[in-house]
Amino acid sequence: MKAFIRAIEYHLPETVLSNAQLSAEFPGWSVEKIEEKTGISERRISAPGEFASDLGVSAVRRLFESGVCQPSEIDFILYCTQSPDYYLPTTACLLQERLSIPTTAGALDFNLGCSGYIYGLGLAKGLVETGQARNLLLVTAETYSKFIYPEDRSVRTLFGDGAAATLIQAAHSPVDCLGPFVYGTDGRGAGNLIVPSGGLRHPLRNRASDIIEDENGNRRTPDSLYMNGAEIFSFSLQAVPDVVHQALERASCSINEVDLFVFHQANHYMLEHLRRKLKIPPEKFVFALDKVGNTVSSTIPIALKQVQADQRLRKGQKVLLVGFGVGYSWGAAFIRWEV
Amino acid sequence: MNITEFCALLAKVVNEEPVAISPDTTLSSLPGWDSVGVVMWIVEVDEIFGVTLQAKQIAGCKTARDLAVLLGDRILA
Repeated sequence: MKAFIRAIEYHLPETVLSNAQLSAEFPGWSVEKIEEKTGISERRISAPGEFASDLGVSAVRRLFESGVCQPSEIDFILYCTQSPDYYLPTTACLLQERLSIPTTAGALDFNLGCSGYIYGLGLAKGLVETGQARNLLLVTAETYSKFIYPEDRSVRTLFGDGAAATLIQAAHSPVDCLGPFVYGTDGRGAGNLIVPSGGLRHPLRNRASDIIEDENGNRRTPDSLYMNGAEIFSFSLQAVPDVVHQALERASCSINEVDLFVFHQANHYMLEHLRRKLKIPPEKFVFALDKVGNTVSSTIPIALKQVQADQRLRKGQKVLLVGFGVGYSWGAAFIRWEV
Repeated sequence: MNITEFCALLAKVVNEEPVAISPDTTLSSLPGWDSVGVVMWIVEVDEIFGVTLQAKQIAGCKTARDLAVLLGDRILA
């Protein structure tokens, strides 16, 4: 049996944060400058009281409503988030109950950011191809906006909230539809994209006196998201070309033999540079962050869904997915699109 | 690339006239040398010289000349 992606759906919260709103809040940052540097015109922000699991539930319901499968058929839930509802229990257990998935299903959370979709597909392949699951839900959901200090434009301009649900099924196929996979990890970069407080090591402080202002005028507290953009760029410019070449070598194929490249949608400026560096033709390279921003682990499935809708993604195509970011953690996976 | 061309490249990245930057220009005096400017510089250098600078290397630079020193003999005095 081979695991393959049967369907993808995604859900975004209603509230829109536009560049015009950001420009009004941060004088000196024009609408045009924000769009030029990020490739993002708007992003969605979850409401107070609306959490990543709520977005995930909506994405999965959309999948069920499309008719590809019923809740009763799901036998495994993989939930990727860095915005869990609780320290415990596992959010995937809450999803099982809310979505009326059978109690015979397995369910687990895993904590990864921008590389999460690649790891999720790798786990799904293992579970499905060893016969442990036949209809697996991979749910990616994130609400970074809840970690972001309102006066930190460095991250407010980039990140958007959202969730995606991917149905992975078993099929009789002579060829692999998921893989090969390549992974990478370098914990030395942990401090460059981090929410310093709020875990057990440094409990949430909630002190206004903790507000710090960096050399660029961005303000934040240790309870909020910190990103060293320059270090993240340096990491990405090195890690992504390396992992792409490793994946191509593992699959014994060249860039010319790949139909589509879907990278984690970090920002347009970085992606365009990576595209040129790797000599990937523009028509094979996907940008899908204009209206959603960087939705962390959901950028790749959202991009896949968008290119499927645009009919750029078609049955039989070979696609290379690349995720990279917080951790540092990265990974690449080939998929063969089968629907 | 010579140092004059190098300064013109930096000027392009930070939205200044090519003649506005000399090797002794202090980076902190350039309005465009903010977090976005630093990121754009990393990308530009990666693209033109094939060298991926680390943010902490750049953080130690005070002048345009200091940036050139990071690229060694790729920049001719």
